[in-house]
Amino acid sequence: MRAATRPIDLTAGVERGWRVDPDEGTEPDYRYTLANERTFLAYVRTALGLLAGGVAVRQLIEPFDVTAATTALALLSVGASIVLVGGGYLRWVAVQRAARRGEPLPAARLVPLVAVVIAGLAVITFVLIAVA
Amino acid sequence: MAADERGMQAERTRLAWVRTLLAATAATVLIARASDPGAERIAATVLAVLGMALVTVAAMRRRQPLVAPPVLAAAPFVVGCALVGLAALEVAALVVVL
Repeated sequence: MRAATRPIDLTAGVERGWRVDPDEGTEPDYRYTLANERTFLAYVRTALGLLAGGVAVRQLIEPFDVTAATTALALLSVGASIVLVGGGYLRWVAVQRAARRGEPLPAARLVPLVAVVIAGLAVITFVLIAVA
Repeated sequence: MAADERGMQAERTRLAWVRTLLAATAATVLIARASDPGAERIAATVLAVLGMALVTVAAMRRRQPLVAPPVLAAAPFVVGCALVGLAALEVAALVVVL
């Protein structure tokens, strides 16, 4: 006897990494949902702080002796801010999905990256001030 | 779970939205203040105010579901508004920086 054929689902196994599927899994305890939302908002505020720092570096301090150093610092800061907003959103989605599935939470890779970037900005600024 | 605990979870989240809105407002003021006079200031300020307005809409739309149960994850409209607003603020900052 021939096995019944099923239509091939080309989307099976493909993760929609950029949004939360409301039909997936079960609604988690809302305390986790709200804690996840507050964490996302904390990422956003950190990004806004970096954005403000970038604008301040570019416009409100005296230029360094090194040509275009202030622009590079400002761009690095605003770039990190953009990465942080996007990464914070993707982490919010990943955590919400894990909570709905009852799976362990994904690792927070953005936090050490942000720490390295901010430390790098501080070191570069210190060197530029020392050179000036 | 005690009713007070539920209220505090929602209240903490509402306050987190308020803090985020304040940060967006401060960034908007800084962008407007730091931009060069002329077309750059107009473009950067319009973009930044637009971004702040979208973040405000997101915060206001999120407030009501936090008051009335059941409490669910933020709706796509709320998250979308916040993200588009933040994108506008980032572009405004790039206008000032570049």
